[in-house]
Amino acid sequence: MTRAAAVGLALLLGASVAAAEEPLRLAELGLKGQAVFKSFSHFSDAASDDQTFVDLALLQLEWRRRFDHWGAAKIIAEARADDFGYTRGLHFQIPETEPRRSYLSLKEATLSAQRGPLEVTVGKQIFAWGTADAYNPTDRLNPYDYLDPLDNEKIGVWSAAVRLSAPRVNLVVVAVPFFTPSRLPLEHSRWTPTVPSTFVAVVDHPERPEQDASATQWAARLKGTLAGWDLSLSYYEGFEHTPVFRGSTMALAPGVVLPRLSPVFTRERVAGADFSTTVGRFELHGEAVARLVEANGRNDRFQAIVGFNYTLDVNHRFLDQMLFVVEYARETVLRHHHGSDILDSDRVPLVGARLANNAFRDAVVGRIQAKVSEDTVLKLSGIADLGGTPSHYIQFKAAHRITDALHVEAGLDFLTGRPETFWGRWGDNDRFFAVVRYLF
Amino acid sequence: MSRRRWLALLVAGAASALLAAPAGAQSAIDIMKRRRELQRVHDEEERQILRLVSKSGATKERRVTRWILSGANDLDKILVRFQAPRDVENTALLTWEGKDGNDDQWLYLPSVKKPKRIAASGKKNRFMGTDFAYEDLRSEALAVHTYALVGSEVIDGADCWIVDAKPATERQAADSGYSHRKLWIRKDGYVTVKREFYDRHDRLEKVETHRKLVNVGGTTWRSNEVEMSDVQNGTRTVVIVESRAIDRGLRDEFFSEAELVR
Repeated sequence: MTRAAAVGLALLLGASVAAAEEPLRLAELGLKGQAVFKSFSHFSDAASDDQTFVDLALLQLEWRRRFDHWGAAKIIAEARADDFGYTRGLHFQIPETEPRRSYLSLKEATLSAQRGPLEVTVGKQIFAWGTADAYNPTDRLNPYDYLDPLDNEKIGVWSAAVRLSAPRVNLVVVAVPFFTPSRLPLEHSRWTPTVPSTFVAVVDHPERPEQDASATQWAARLKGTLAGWDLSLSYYEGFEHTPVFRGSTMALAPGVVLPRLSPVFTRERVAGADFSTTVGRFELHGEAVARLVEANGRNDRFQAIVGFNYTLDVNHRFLDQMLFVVEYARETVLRHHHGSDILDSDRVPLVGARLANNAFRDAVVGRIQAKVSEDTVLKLSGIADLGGTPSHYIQFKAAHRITDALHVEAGLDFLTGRPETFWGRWGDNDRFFAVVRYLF
Repeated sequence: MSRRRWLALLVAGAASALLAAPAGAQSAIDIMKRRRELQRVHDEEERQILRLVSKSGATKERRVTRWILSGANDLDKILVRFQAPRDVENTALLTWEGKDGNDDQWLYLPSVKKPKRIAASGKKNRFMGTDFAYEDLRSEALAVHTYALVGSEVIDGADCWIVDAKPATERQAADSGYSHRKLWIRKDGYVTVKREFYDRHDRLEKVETHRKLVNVGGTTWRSNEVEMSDVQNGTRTVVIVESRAIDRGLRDEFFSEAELVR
């Protein structure tokens, strides 16, 4: 789809929404939603991609209903288009394994039944566990859409969840019968890192787990509040949603042997805990997990993140409030699985961290947010990956609410570091972005 | 003046003094306690329209539902959920009031999909862009204020005591945005009909006026319209109560994370 077509679709969506307000109000049908237009302008070509402008349009419709005394239903459906190729075709899959988005899709679809303290929810769900801002090591149930890694979003999973609630404690148990991988950058995308021409290897298609009982993932979280502290214990048994690489060799001809990389998914057991509390104007939080490999993994790992939020009330005419967030994330190897054929993804010769899937091995995260008024917010956020040679991601964003229904955002993304580092591999992807959102 | 006339005046004065005695003899704290006794309920649900009026007269509307569960020692549990406009729809704030202002507070933003514990926003901060500070929305905390009866005034035809409230503890003085407040409490039903808020420099900052009083059962009265005017900034917020349910048996379980994220 051309850029003009994407812009046209966005305008059409906006016009149709505006037209729908009178005489037929969508809200009267129980429908709400939003129309979003995003535009990304990269400052330079990338080695694998010379398209510097990317535009996306999204129309999201939401229907909710609460049934007195026993439950609720929710459906969020989406129509998408873009001029890069992130979206192609119409496909409805359980689970979703297409590398591209569908023009029409279900983001969430749930039915809940409640009786007393017990609630059961089935359908396509998005979960959010953990207390940290930058990333949540205890939050393992949903894969992500990483077609644009900086503008990522969670993908819903078809699942059943049981929640048992009391005033100060609740328990959630979730079963996910199918494995859904994260959606990775497309082959010709500027987000797919190029490797040096001196590095030659055969790369296979990803080997996904069989879709049978062995693919079932499940998780549980017990959360309580005690004396001003929120404390949780969690457990997950399932797959990592982004692949790691199994290394082998392939003989192309007598005497000609090439390295072979096969993307596979680690099966793991993850025990975790998190906390959150407040001390004066500080909110302190942290979470930690032990990730123990069951199959297709190289290392058992300990991952943790701790940090704080601090709110400063300025109450000035031109500056209402400041928010500061600082976090530190760390990963430590607990045990090497000797004999594993899984590559240490950031230590492949010549490739470095270009294949790495974790930005938080030794990272400092910061965010400064200035609330100018109820309608205008400025944000400066950054992640510094300090593991080995440092690399950084910095974002400046301004958000303004023109009306309650019409919001705009604009900002800059900067990625720095050597090409073989986590953020530096995308060093050609500095960009300006703008988002217009109309809610109805 | 004749002797008989003096006597008549004396008798009349004594009679009026006797009639006024049951009310007039009350101290300010007695009035506040009696007010609390008569107006406090076990639980309450209100659907409200918040009309925010700027200095230029431009208006914005917010719709919220507010549930309150009264607890011991004036410590309530409060859940506020925004119903409109769309950009804040389903945003919810759960507060468990704690001793000495150490509240537990969680904010649920639908876009984040999980509740986040937040440092209790400075009590003096405005609530979601309105002219109400968080402390204006709390129940009157008798234990951390001193009260003085400073006069009487007739408001809308009803005789009212004027009670002056000042922070009684260092902590309350530090947390509050006000040096003192004046409360107008009707003598006939112990209902607050007006409040004035004085900033830390003792200047009048805001005036809250209660209108459309309705009896919601027994001795309990509520106002169906409250206006808070910021006389320093020229803005005002009008709260219009669309519907109300009193003592419908809300339980402690309702004020939990499960309801917050619903």
